[in-house]
Amino acid sequence: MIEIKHLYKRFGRFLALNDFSLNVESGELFGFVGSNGAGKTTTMRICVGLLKADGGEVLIDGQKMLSNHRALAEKVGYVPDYFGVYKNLTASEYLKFFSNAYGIYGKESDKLAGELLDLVNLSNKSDTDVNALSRGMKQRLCLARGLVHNPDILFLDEPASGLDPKARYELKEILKNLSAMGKTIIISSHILPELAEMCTSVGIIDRGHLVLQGSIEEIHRAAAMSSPLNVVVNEAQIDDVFAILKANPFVQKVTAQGSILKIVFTGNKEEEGKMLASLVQSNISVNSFYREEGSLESLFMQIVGSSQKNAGQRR
Amino acid sequence: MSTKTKPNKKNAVLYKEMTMDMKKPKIMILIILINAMISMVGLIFFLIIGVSALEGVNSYRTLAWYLITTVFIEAFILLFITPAITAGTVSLEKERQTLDVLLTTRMTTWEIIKGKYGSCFVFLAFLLLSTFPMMSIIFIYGGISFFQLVYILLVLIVFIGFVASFGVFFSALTKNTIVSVILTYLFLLFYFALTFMLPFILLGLVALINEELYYNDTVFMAINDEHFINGDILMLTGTFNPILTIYDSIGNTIGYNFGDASVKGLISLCGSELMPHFTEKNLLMKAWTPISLIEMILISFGLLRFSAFLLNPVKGKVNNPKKKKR
Repeated sequence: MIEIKHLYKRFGRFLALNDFSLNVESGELFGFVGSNGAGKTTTMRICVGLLKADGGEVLIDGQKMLSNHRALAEKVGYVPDYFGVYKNLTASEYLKFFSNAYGIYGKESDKLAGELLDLVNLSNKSDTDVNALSRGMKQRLCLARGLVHNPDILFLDEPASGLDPKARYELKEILKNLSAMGKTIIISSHILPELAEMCTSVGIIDRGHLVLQGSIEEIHRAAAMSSPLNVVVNEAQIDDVFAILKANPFVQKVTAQGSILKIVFTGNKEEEGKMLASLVQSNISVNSFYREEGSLESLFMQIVGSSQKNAGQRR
Repeated sequence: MSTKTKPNKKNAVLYKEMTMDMKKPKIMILIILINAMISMVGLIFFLIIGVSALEGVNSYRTLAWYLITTVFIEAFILLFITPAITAGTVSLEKERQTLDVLLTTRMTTWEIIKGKYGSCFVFLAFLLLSTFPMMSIIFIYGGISFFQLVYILLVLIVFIGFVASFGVFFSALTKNTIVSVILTYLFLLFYFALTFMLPFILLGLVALINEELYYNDTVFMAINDEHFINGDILMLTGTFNPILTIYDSIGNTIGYNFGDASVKGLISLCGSELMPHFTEKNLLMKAWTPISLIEMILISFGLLRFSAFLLNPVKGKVNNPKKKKR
């Protein structure tokens, strides 16, 4: 289990992480979503020991790991958002070099390189120069590199960035296989729907702060709730309806388009039911009461938008 | 996939560079070039010796000059090659974005630096040793033993190790290889010039500070006679100059019959009457090369340790996050 507690990181005047906390259970395929500059890479680099946090701590299986380089290196694998490959090395030599860096040499290293290339479907490219590989193949090779020491936890920073649909699909399949093997995978992206397809849970970061975390079902539910509630009433009763809605604490905004009222409602299903009941009890003739189909993108934009609005108000 | 990691017995970086990078053609080209250059010098000297022999002139002095010339040619070639080879070792990893990945492995920054430095050092030492047969030509006429030549080679090996450590240090300090190479050359130029002049500048400064010394016959004699400050301590700063040390090691090897190639000889060239106590019996004069070698090894080690510190991504103090919070 990974516990990130109250992380702070500042780059000059820019506060990249602001009291960032997150828990990821073992075996999860966790999607880490945020717009560019939200703090995803900073968090990952702190977790793998490539950056020093200004405050807070990271616990892996209950142990403080950041001060113990070797223990951390054993436990985690990291695939950054760039390839980091050596020229003049074949795919096989590249993996052997990194296995050597973990103390694995000789036949054991050869065998491991073969197994890993097989795992990422690159067996036929074992003797190909790393530079001659396509972007998708390089990404899969880098994923294999992150697995040479068989880590329990794998951090992947925007691994699907710049990949074509076929390469993305292949990468997703490999990640699902790794997740099935029991590995905890934390994968970052700025596209929520992309992660929702494969992750078991998701966390949304904005301005260095975690603004939403939950299982993928909860996120989908939240997405459904993120779209406006449409209520169709008799036009003559519109003023009465406005008065009732104004009194409801979960109603944030109401706009009228003829007899259709679009309501930004932050309450849950139960609260929705209560609001409908109050309209009916007030003798409002409700012709229709439904939510528009919500999308993950609209949820993401709503969350990030309200987070930025709150930040603006705090200022 | 079931493989578990083991403690690092070998250095993976060193192993990679030695087994994979040594195959590069530039290695062979450099070996051929440096040997061709030494061969040319050998050929010229043999022509001179041949002509001298016809005229019945003793050729030992010419042959000694062959040794001095080849050693200095090698030293200067290595002085120019070494920064070019070493100053990109770490910065290239930064440019290729492979350093971060390397830092997340079991390897510590010290192991990475040792691997980088070690591979360069082994290659340069190999380059140097490849010229040994050409330098051995001097055995034809004698006057120098096998072990004396090995001693000079050892001094040169420490010298390249010293220069290489500066290259690795600047490579760890900067993100750009070109900047690193330029900084290494500039710093070495500054270092060699400063350490060559420093003893003389310091002796002069001491004389300037104490006006009374002007009225003495010789400045340096006065410094030592009055025990105002021991001139040896000031001269000791010169031992930090590797070129003087190479010069001294050759002079001491060839023997005091050819003593003008030692530091003592150099001082006498500057005017032995100024420093009469710098004789063969002077301890500093005797131990100049060993002192200098120890200094070079210590400086190299310190620079490499500091380079490892620079590479550590989680070093240093942390900012107080709440202090500047707005």
